[in-house]
Amino acid sequence: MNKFIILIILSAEIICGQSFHSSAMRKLFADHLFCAQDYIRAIEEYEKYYRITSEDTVLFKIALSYLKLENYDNAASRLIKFTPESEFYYKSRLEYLKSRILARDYLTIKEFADNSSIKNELKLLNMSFLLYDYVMPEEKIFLLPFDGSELNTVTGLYRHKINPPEKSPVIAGLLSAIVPGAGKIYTNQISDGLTAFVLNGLFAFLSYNNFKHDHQFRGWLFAAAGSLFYAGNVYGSAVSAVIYNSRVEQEFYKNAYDFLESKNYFIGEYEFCR
Amino acid sequence: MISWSQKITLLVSMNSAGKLIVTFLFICSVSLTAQTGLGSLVDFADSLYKAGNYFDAITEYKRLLFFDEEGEHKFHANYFIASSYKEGAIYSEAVRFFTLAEISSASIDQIYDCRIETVKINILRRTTDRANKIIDQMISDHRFYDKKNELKYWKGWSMIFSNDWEEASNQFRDISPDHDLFTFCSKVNDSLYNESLARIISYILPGSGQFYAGEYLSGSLSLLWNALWGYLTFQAFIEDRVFDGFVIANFLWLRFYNGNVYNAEKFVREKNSIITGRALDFLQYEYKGMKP
Repeated sequence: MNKFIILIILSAEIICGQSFHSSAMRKLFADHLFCAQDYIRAIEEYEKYYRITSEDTVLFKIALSYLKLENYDNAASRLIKFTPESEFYYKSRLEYLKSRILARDYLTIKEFADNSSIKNELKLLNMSFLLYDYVMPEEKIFLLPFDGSELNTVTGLYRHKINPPEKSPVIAGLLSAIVPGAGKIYTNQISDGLTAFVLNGLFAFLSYNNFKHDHQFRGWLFAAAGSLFYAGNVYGSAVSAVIYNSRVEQEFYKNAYDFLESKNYFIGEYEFCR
Repeated sequence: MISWSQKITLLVSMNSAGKLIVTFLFICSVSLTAQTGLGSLVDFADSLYKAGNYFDAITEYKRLLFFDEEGEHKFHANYFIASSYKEGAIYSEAVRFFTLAEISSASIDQIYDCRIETVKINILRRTTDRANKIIDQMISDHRFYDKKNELKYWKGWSMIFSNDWEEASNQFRDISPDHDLFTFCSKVNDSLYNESLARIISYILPGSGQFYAGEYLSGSLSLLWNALWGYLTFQAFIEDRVFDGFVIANFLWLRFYNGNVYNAEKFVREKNSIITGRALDFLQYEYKGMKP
């Protein structure tokens, strides 16, 4: 009877007092950490659990956690492990493409999804065309995977990529050489352009006026200052065109990434934390 | 050793009183074991914290919070998660968990500890306005009436980190005129240069601000340049060369005059920065009292 009582107590220990570090408990805790967005600790717990169970869901969540931590290479190395038998196979491919886009590894995307027939993978592939210096396909072919509300934005991005609204630094410089400040106005720096025009005119007038009144020194002084200002304005207009182009390019990439973010990289939502 | 089948046979063959006793024993064991399990988790987390392994300590305290359904260790876990984050200089998370600890606190002392730790974090991350606000609220809170000196102590520290050494010394003097930090802060305050004074005397006599800051060469050069351009400006106006006078005054004299004021302020700030830096080094490495 005594032995029996001891065994009852031991059984209770096995059933209820099992370690909070056991696999089952660890998974519960890791899920909690994942949903609380403590991804570093979630990864640590999931990894320990995965070593024992090799569960697909856990591997997928490890990859998602790495993505959230912006550790794209570690995420990709997990996402590539999924086989077509896994329920996460299609999602993992999309997440893999997302990780490559975020890591700016566009060449891998082309290799990975070039022969794909899955619509969302083709969407991501085409978006990578926009983000990299590829020769762009025909508009119709490019737009083929996109539909509905996506079409307008993607068409705009495509046309921007084909024909970017850039300003020529040479034209900007030449314009400023002919009419001081005109190059700045050409690059949308209207107030700078007007200021340059007025100041160049002022220096020219001061120089002319001083020569006229036989103030040779002051005449040369203003002429020299005006020349420097003129040359600076020509150079500044060319630089302004370069800056304008860089801003246009940055805006284009921002719009493309914002579009991808708004569409969640065509992946859809998960129900892990609902 | 009794097998599971034997156990079940024995249980079935028992009379009702026996079954009752076994059930009672089982329930007692279950609850006791769960408590012991959480207790060992607390011990494990505490040992990690004491060993300075703060990352793992946070994990274990979070595990404790997750499995502690009764909320028995809620204060302890939140408090030490916050302390671990503080040790790791992740101050925003530390403040968040001290607030959670305060919500689950069971006594005035625990509330006090959480708030003081929040004050210390605000001092460390130099959000001293927030630290002062919390301290002022605590001073006016009758529950902390007996902690007034301690609160003044931390307000003094907050003032040190606000770079207001005079107010810091006032706070420590209020605790005791013999307070170590009162003497120390007063000395630091006395050795600081006055930026406004440097600016004003530089406006009156160019170069004097730099002299005040101990930068004699820079002060002399400033004085000479200003004297030269001032002289040339006046000379031009006296000789009716109004345009020259404006050009020299605007492009030369005014630049050197403004530069002299700017320089004087810059030197004073640099000197003060060295003095306060040394003072903070002393407090960090040499001072033996409580620190944030």
